[in-house]
Amino acid sequence: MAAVVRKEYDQFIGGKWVKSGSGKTIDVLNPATGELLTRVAAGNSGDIDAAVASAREAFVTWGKSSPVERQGVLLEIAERIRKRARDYAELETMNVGKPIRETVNIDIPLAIDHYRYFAGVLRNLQGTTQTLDPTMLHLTLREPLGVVGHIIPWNFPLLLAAWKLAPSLAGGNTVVMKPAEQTPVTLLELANDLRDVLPPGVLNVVTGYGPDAGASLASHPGIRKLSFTGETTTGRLILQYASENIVPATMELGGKSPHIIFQDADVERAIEGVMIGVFLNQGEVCSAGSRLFVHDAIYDRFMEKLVAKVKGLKIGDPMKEDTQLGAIVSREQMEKVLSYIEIGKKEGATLLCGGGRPADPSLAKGFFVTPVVFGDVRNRMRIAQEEIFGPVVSAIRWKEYDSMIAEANDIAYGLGAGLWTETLPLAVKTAKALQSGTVWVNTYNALASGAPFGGYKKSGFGRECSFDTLLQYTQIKSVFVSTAEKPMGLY
Amino acid sequence: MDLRFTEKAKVLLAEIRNENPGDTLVILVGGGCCENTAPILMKNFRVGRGDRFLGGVEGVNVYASAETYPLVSATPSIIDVTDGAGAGGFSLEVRRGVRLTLRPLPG
Repeated sequence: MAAVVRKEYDQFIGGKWVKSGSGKTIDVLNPATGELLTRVAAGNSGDIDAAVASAREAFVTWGKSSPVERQGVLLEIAERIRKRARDYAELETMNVGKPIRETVNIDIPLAIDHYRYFAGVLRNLQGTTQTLDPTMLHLTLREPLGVVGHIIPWNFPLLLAAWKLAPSLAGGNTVVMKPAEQTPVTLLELANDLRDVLPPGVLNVVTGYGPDAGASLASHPGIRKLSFTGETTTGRLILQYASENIVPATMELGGKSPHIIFQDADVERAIEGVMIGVFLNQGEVCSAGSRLFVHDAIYDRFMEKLVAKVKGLKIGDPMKEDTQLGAIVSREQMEKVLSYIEIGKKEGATLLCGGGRPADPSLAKGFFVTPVVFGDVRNRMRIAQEEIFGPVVSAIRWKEYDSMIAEANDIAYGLGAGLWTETLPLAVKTAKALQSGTVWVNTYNALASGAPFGGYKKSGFGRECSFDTLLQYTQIKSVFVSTAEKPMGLY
Repeated sequence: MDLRFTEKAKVLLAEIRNENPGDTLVILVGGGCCENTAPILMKNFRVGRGDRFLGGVEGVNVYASAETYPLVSATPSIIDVTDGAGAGGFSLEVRRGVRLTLRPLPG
């Protein structure tokens, strides 16, 4: 039996379901059908005030909890998701439009693993000690920050919530989360499943529009840290709010990642890597390898094979096990992706395949776009510089190594980069030359708990998924302990 | 650059302008991730030294970041309004169920 979505969700504040003070709701759609999936509360600043107050109260106890206790809680969160893994996968697919094979094999297992990882590493959260002189001992304590505010995007709702929630709880913080208003279902279900796991107020979920609930959360004086994954300009706005309260922020923003094919690449594997790079989650991935640099010596052969493969992609109902490309998250996003097809053609790129709505009438009401390959792209074209966030790859022919590297780095962003070669020294040299927070060698879009993820340049700062992340959810207290037996004699 | 506004966009911006007396309203063209080049309408946003002016209407100035400006300004474009159900983001109009868009002028 397919997972059941409630007809309506309220806010989750202080361990209870609470109506929004706004009295209003937001329609949440299934992007594959365009039909109403559920409704969520349109939270406002009053709801955020209540959520932050509840998190502050919970912090009094949770902030003093032992590592053993927090480890047990995180392992139990992993277990609760595992027990309902199929439900979570189906709910995520119905809400985001991504294929079920992805939610089953990627989103949900990685989310589970994230809670397990931070359950483990939190036991290594330690300070340092030093003897400064014979009567002065110094030690550092890693302490939680307090209430942290998280703003979650719509492309990997449960997984990216785990990226923020797991280290926050591991560090002893309490949390107020605002999921994207179009994809809140799995996080709300998780909050419900954890009612008997987390003390009331440790996790609060407020749904709502960005300028209402989001801005209220980001600017709230009770918040001690912000973490945001999303669009770059919005990141700037949130940083302005963070500056008002002098709080640290983790920013995981846009990307337009170069994906480089050398002439000695294993073509079969590289083509699969390109497709994982740009068609996973319909290309709605901030690290999508959407700028494809193919060496001139193999360009024609490579592109011919790539286009043949892309034309064979199974696009359709994301709930079907064999679907490879699902629906774009919203009509507005679909229209935006389609507008770039026109932009690319006007710029002089060659549309090699895709770029329309599928012919299948059963998909007409969903937000589908056939997968796109552009050839003859130049790096300064808009389709090579702007993040389309859709199933669109822009291929650039290259001949000379240094100018290719210069072009690969000629971009505002630096989130991901990939390269395919069988020559190890070349792989290492290139990995070092790329200005990017992650470099994938003979693979693409690999993610793992324990592998830091984050951006160079305007892709943001701070790292998620790693032990460093846990440190970023703590603050250091420096303690000096004197064992002197006599006054210093200064006064 | 050649930046135009549809009547629908003008009416929407005038309404939001009237609802926020005393506030500075600006649009900064987004860059990257979920919103990419969508216009983002914000209240009291501090425009940065690298941001470039693109145009304005109804007391709302439109800017693009230093990196986005050369790309966006090369394409004659129009700011319009579309059905925003499920669009999301921090732009002020989303709570009305609509979304501002930036598209190349036809032709």
